[in-house]
Amino acid sequence: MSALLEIEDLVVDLPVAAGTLHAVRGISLSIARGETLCLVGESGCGKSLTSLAVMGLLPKAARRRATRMTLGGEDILDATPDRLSDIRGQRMAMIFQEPMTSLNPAWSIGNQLEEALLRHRRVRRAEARDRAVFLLEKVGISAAASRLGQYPHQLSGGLRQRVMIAMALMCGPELIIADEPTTALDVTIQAQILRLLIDLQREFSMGLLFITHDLGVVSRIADRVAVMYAGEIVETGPAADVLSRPNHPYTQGLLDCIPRPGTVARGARLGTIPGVVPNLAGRIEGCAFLDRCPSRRPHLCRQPVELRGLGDGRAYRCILPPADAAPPAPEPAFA
Amino acid sequence: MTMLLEARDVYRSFQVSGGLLRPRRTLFAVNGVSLSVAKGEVLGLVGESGCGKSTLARMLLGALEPSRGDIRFAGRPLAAADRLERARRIQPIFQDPYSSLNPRKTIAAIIGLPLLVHGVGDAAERRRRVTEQMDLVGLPRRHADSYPSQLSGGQRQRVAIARALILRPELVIADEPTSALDVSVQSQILNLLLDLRDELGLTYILISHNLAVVEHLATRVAVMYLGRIVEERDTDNLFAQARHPYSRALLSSVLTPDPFAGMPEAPLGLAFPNPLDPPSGCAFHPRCPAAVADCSRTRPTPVAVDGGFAECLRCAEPAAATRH
Ligand SMILES: Nc1ncnc2c1ncn2[C@@H]1O[C@H](COP(=O)(O)OP(=O)(O)OP(=O)(O)O)[C@@H](O)[C@H]1O
Ligand SMILES: Nc1ncnc2c1ncn2[C@@H]1O[C@H](COP(=O)(O)OP(=O)(O)OP(=O)(O)O)[C@@H](O)[C@H]1O
Ligand SMILES: [Mg+2]
Ligand SMILES: [Mg+2]
Repeated sequence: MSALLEIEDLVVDLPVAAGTLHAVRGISLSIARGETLCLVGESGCGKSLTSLAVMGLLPKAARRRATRMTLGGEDILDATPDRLSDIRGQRMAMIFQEPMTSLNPAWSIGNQLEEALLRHRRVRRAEARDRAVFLLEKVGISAAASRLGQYPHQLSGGLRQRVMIAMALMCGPELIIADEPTTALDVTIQAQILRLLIDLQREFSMGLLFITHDLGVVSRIADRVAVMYAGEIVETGPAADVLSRPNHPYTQGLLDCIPRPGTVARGARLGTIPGVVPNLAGRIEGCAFLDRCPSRRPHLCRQPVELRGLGDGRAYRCILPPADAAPPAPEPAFA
Repeated sequence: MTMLLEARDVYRSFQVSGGLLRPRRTLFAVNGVSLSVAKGEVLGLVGESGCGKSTLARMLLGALEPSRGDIRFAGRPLAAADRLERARRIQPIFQDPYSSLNPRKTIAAIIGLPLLVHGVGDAAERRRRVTEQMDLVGLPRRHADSYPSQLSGGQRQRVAIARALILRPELVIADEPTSALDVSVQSQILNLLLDLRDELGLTYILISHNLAVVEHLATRVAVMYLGRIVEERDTDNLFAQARHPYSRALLSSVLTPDPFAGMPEAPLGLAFPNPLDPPSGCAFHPRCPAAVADCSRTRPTPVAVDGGFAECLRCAEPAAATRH
């Protein structure tokens, strides 16, 4: 598989009262066509800023640098604003948590969908309209033609999120970035939207960068996962491997925090990650997770810790040996 | 068993505008709910967004009058207790630890406010109780003079819990207490709720969209659909074999972190019910995979199933009642 999106060493700094906030601190990742990469981590770790950096939609004050950032081979780091705006319309699209951040309340659904295409492609309005109807049906909205005249406030939250997905697909993008698109919805609607997104992604062979902090969602949709902590990727690899045999203590910590019926007894104490994330306005020497880590070795962890590749598509940023290489359990299974 | 809280056939409707130039219409948010909660229980309340969970919770708190039906607390009509007494014995915890705390008051003042309102103790006594309360929920004492904006989300939710518990209520009604929090903070709050239940002998009603959280905490679970409780079971029974088709759809939508499970098929169609114009017969029938012709005509009544009841015509059929 050829890489669709490639990011090397992305840094995002934000000026704040206390100096500079190092919100994204050297992130590298790639997504192939037809692949889903989930970006997870707790609130404030830099997930949204990473995705906004890719889209070229960072807040004005933010400073961004990277060694390389390409989409299907085309440079998106130094592209002119005009070109970038075209790329955003034609090659990549974003779906936000709150659909009303992208839907205009004063415009009908049909108008907004058509505009999304007309702005970037030379097509007649009738064609744009046909595509809007086609995509609304694709996202499971029945009697689509009759919906075109409706306004966003006339739709339920789940329907609005579907309209957002249809809008993101209008230009036939190669990459979709979805930032917590189902966090505000209840579980049955969440399952519908995710199912839909994954089916469409496979059908059109799009790359999908999916941001969430729900490990349940990750386990069901991701090919690969990247776990972020304090602006860095601390573990990455095939989702099934990372979730079943995490190598980084932070990944393990996250998994221990969630109630898992069948695995954790009812009413038993859940795991916790004591402490708080480090202040990103200062300099962080060595491992950012050090203060909260149950397995820390203070003298070793104060050195910078590299993201260590394991050769099987997995990598993690910790001095501990990988989980597989841990001392054998009482009864060695593969003696 | 004496019941701490009992609601019998409770209804609540709202008048909503039907749109431009249309007459106002009646929306039944809670449509005939009966439930009882014994001391020491944790009753989980789940269901689709808009099914009436929060409206029911507000009535059980005494913050909203039922249109019809009756609610008793510790054997006496809830409406007969005065506002202060109700607040002393039943306390809410809300979803949003940001908006429920006064940003201009210190943490100690926020936690101690109920003592002031209820005229408990002198200043020194109140101070002592606040400190005790902060220890109880694991808030460092040095935060006594901090402001909410100086605390993390998890700490703010602890403040809200400390305030809710300072008068030693008997019943705590928590409406999505952890859904605004990260999982690492959520687990701390859930542990805290469980510890406090043991230490203080609390009774909880827990509302949540997160079924793993409900399964972890609740002893019994009520599933709501369009204003009614359609199934109520002991937690083990419900999660082992839900009987109402809506409960089953709900459970199958839960995404546990199981890397080998894949995405469930979306179980429910898009025919969302309109609460202003509820379907005839069983309100769930237009979306129900098991519906038969009778379901659109006959309103189901509760049928006893192991560990509780389900309100479904098909559950009453002998064939459906056999376990496999
Ligand atoms: N416009 C801004 N100005 C200043 N700081 C910002 C701005 N946007 C984000 N930040 C800070 O940058 C850090 C990373 O933010 P980001 O939104 O990427 O986090 P996130 O991982 O998406 O979190 P969440 O899960 O809460 O959405 C946070 O500490 C945040 O407070
Ligand atoms: N004050 C009000 N006036 C009019 N309608 C209301 C009012 N309060 C609630 N409703 C309606 O009553 C129904 C039940 O709302 P409620 O907030 O109880 O649902 P919920 O189950 O708590 O949903 P969620 O899971 O989204 O919090 C909804 O259709 C809602 O729109
Ligand atoms: Mg974000
Ligand atoms: Mg609610």
